[in-house]
Amino acid sequence: MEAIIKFENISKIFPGVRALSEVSFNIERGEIHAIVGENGAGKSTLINVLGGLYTPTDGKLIFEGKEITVFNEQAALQLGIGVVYQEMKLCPNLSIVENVFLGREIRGKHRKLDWSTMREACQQVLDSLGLYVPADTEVKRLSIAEQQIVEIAKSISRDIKVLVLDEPTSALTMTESLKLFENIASLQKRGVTIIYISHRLEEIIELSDRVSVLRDGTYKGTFNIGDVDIDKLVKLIAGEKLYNELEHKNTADKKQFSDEDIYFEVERLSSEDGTVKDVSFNLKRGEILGFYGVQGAGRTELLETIFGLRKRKSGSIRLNGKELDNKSPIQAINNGFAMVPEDRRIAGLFPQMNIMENINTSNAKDVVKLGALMDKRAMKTISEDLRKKIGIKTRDIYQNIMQLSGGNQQKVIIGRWLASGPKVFLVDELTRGVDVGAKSEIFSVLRMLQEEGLGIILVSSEIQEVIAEADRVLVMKDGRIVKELTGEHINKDEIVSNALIGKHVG
Amino acid sequence: MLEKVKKRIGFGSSVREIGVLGALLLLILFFSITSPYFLKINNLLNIVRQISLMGIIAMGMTMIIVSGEIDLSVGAIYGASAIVAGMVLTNGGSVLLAILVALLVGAFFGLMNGVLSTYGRIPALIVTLGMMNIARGVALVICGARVISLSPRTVDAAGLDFFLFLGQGKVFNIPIISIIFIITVILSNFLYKHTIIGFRMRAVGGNSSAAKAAGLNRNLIKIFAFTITGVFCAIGGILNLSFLANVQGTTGNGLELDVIAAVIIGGTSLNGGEGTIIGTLIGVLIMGVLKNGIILLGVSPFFQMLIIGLVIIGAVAIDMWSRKS
Repeated sequence: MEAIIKFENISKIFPGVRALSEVSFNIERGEIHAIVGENGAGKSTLINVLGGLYTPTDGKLIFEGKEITVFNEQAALQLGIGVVYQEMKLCPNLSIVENVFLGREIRGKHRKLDWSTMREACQQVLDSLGLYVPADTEVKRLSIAEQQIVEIAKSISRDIKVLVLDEPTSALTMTESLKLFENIASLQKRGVTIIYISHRLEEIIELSDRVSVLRDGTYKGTFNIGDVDIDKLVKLIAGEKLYNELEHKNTADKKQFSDEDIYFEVERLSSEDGTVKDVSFNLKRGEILGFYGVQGAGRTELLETIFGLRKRKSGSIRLNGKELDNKSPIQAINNGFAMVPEDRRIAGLFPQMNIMENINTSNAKDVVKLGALMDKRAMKTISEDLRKKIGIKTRDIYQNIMQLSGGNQQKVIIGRWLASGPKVFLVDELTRGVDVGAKSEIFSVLRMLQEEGLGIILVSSEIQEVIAEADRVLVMKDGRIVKELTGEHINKDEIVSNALIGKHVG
Repeated sequence: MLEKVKKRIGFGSSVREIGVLGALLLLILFFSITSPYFLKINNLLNIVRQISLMGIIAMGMTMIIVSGEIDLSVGAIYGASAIVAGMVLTNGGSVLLAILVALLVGAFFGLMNGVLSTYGRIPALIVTLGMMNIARGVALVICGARVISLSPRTVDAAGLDFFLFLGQGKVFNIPIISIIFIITVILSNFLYKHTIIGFRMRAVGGNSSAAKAAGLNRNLIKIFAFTITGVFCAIGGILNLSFLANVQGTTGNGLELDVIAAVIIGGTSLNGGEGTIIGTLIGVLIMGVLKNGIILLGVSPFFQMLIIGLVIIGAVAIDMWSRKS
């Protein structure tokens, strides 16, 4: 095998941060090469160097035997390196063919744009990728998975040699992922070298030929996929100590509850837009109730319906036997609900504010005196207490929230909701974009709250998380609950099979 | 030490205020070197008087822009409320009634702006563009394109004296207009920094979805900002009527652009969530010093607009570029 890409002692230093230090390894022609590592390990930096967005501070990048000296996106594309970034770079208002040929339009007579030739070429590529929609379709009408195929089409219609995929399955459903894997396999057959970045180790084991591990910006080795398993990869990615913490809660630790502990009930709840259908369940004091389902199964939508962010069509919710309205988040919060949203950047953080201000947005009764004045002393005390309790790592509570790591930002959001004194805590994708170390810290906070008797509804698309943390698991599919799992039944096989093929009973 | 100071100022970014303040001091230094009249006490008082009316409205505009909205109708509301006050006075109404009615008119237009752009779900740019024309139209219809003059012939003499004193009088040589401006600044700053409403304005403007999920009533917060701005416009309009002793349908034309410019120069982000009352105060002073200095230097007034235009773009450019690094 011949190396198509050689990283030789690549370092990248940002002001104050060493994102990559002396990373060296080879990518072989025609292989599927996975790169793994926790957030901040340097995967994205490495990809951005490859894609021409960053110039390395030190070291050499050798492509087909020649050193790359000019780092920009155009140069990378010209060499034959195409990158499909996590945040896709398509113009939603343009059609597929317009996106695919953007910047290298084919011209015919009198320099007129030759759309029919472009359309034909584009359609061929789309067909080969199994996307059977007209090339004229506007990109904004496509699903995320389809948009991703357009991104891939954009790359391969340029005859690229290396295709880099950065977390391609993070927003895909399971069937969409399978289709992506088929496409990857067929691209490999056509001789394209694939570099594949993902958090999902199961995928990597199944898909790739070799895997390289990064940790804290340093290279930890490359392995043939036959020589590693998930456990070994987790150890390599996280380091020994963190790995043990993540395994903390096993079946024996799972709490058992009796029906007397039930204090929150949802009965036949349906949302107006039909994303939640006839959902009934209960929650017990001090219980962590996990919800699992594939993308679009209605987990997030269920939380939003309970919290008043989504309109309810029918059904009821009762807290301590009292029926509640929850028509808006304002009402829900007053009734004792708190919700950590799925995407903290969109619906959680106030980017211009400091930690103290971000914590004290939803506890007006504790921080307002004389009707409208802000009690800054109370705000400070509350923030300092929570900072200690949750372990927010920060210089002080006056630091801007955007300067914190993802894990610490999430802790601030948790702090905001604890400050509001919740009785039911809804958490959605609590650890998205949070590194392994902070993950286990966040879950120990959840366990502490559980000990205090707070009922927690945990929605996650990380199956390991649900298995490790939940005392009971409800599996959703197509807006309905299809299965309740307890005790030893909380395992991957039962969860996944129900999420994929479970049937609604009753 | 600096950390301590920063903590004290705490809310909002003090660094930007210091930058704008530096620019103001540089301008003052420049004009005091180039013109012997600039630093004279009378000239300085003159500047403060000239900026007062615009400054009062800029306080409200800061709150609107921080909340993530915009108001193009302030100049028209300023004019309309002054016309209404003038009509009440010239038709035998008392000074108190005239002021009260004018304030109500300002509050009403502001309230409408707020309600339509929140519950009505029409973008504020459109609502206030419409309201600009409506308020201006109301003013012109009421006064029939005449100039309304306050004189002993048209207004009861005792009341007139008191009314004119508001706009023309001085206490310890300081124009009453400016004292009212300073009081507005202090109250606005208090409202913005120390009450829950100001805090929530920044939250709503900073991340609207997060504000919704955090249980804040976004509509009420914005309506408040629009309404108080309407009231500030009316205060400005009343004082202008008192200062000039007359008003016409076109009074306040284009004022909104000066106001928005001052707010932006003062470091408030048009994206919302960011800005301070003190920053706006400095922005207003920069506008005033510039206009005054240009005239003192004998530069053609036509250059005024040109230079102010450059300053607006320059101020925002420096801010954006310094933030990127």
